[in-house]
Amino acid sequence: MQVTHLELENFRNYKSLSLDLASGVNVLYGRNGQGKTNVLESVYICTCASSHRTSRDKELISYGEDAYRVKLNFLNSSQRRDKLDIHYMDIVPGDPLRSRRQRIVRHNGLQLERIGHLMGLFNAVIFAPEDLRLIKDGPQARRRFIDLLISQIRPIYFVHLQTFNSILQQRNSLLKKLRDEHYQPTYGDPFDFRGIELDTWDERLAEAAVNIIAYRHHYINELAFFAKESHAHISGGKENLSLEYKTLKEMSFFDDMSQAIEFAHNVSGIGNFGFLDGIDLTQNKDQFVQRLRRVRSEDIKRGNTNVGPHRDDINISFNDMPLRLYGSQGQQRTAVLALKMAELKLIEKATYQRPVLLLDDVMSELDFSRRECLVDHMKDGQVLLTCTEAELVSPQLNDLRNTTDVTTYVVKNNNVIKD
Amino acid sequence: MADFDTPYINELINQFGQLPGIGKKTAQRLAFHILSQPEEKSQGLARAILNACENIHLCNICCNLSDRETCDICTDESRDQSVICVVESPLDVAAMERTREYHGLYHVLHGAISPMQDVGPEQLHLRELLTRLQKNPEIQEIILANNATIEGEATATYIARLLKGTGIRTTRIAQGLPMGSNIEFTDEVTLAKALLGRQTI
Ligand SMILES: [Zn+2]
Repeated sequence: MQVTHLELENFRNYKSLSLDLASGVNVLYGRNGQGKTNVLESVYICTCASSHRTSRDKELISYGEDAYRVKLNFLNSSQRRDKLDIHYMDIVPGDPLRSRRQRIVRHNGLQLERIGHLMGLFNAVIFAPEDLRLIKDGPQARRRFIDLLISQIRPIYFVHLQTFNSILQQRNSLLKKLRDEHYQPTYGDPFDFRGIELDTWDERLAEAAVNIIAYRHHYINELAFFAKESHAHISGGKENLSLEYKTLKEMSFFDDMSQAIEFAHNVSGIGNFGFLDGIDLTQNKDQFVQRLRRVRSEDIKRGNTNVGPHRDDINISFNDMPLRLYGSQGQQRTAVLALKMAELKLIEKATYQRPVLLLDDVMSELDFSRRECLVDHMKDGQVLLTCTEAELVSPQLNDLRNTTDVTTYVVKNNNVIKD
Repeated sequence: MADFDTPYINELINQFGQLPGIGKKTAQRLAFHILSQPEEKSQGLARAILNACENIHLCNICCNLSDRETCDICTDESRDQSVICVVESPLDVAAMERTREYHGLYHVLHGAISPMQDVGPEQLHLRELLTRLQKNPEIQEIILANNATIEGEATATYIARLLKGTGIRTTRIAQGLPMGSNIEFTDEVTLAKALLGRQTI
């Protein structure tokens, strides 16, 4: 994949920007606060319609304006010209009472019915200082990471996630109602209609949940494989990074499943209809229902569902110790880089196409071995990189000039100009 | 929406605006259309609304809309009295009837379970269904034709659970590609399900 042209309207500090990008490495340099990161952010938004820095679209609109627009021209996985147009705007203009902003996404001029349809059209991986949150923050950051990653590879996963979330909201509403009614669980009384209603939502939730868990299990395993490999490469094989999917303990027998999947992989590549083909999840579903029953009175007391994929996590450990607690700053940065490079390889393997690599202000943060690994990954595919003017003459970038095309752009006065 | 200086027009616009799928602009257009057409036409519309409200009520057996106490389908003795097809709305009955392939009876729930909208099983016409089953031992099968939405699936599951152990056969209509439709217009979830459920021919 390759971005050929980017246009911004009222996006952050850019009133209007029109920028041609080259293949190979594109280096955007300039002083801090000039809006280098904003360019990468706008490109990243074209992968999933949300920013890696904020969940509030409003923050992306230039001060005093009421809409932003990002237009991206790129070469798609078949090396053909494709266009994306993301327009965040008021869809009821001129009526302040009914004002409602919405993202309108167009692909080659046609409006997409759902944001989910954007997934997988344009793939990019971003590596930014904020990514340290993957290690330091709570489980939500890691769930978001893996969910967006799977959605890029398997867009239907995004639809499954939305279904799961809707069912979860319905079940939580019912739990709150039962709490307010002071309902006491009976577990099987045929005239306990509230109980039957809750059983119903347990069953619906379990069906959606095991689907999500199966996808996560599969892709976290794949990610772990690539992350270990990248990490060994950076650390010269001295250190060991491992990822472990943390979900309901009842789901552990999925390990058998992943062996079956690996077998299928070796035989027929990615699998014709995805890895769920021919795999029966009934047993897992039943186990999930059993678990929900065991925590039922707790769930009612809290008015909330306390077990499920919305509580999942990925344990990241470093030489068998939890990285979050025991890793040094440097070890954590190395692990994040390994994770990001694994993301890049996983998407490349699954889509047969190298995603665009977005590197935000990372040259200064990395020590020599990590920088070398990064530079290694920059040789193939397109890269957009931000750095300061001083870093422009760093030995790593000079090395890169010998192996690939490097184009430089200066970022200042709310504009980006090719050198 | 008090934009006009006569309360009569504003009231009319307000009433139209409360109908499903009608926004402020359409409500205004409809109101001015009503006022600009010959008066007898508007009176005809008003009468039709009142007549429908006065004469249409729920069938005392299947809860479909009818102008009789018991609807035509429920009184038709030639229909198969051993099967009931459960649907969400009267429109679904009309759709099923268009197939001319189903000759059993119906039961209209008038909605689907949705805790978020505060719709529980008690708001649906389920009690009537259970009474029917008790009174009519000849009923052998319930076909659940609820919508394939999150709420519809939940309602079908709920009914199936209620009927567990009654000896009545409970079935759910199949899902798949609409006949005569293009693959290109089919949503991705339906297609993915259709792929997983593929059959040898
Ligand atoms: Zn009837």
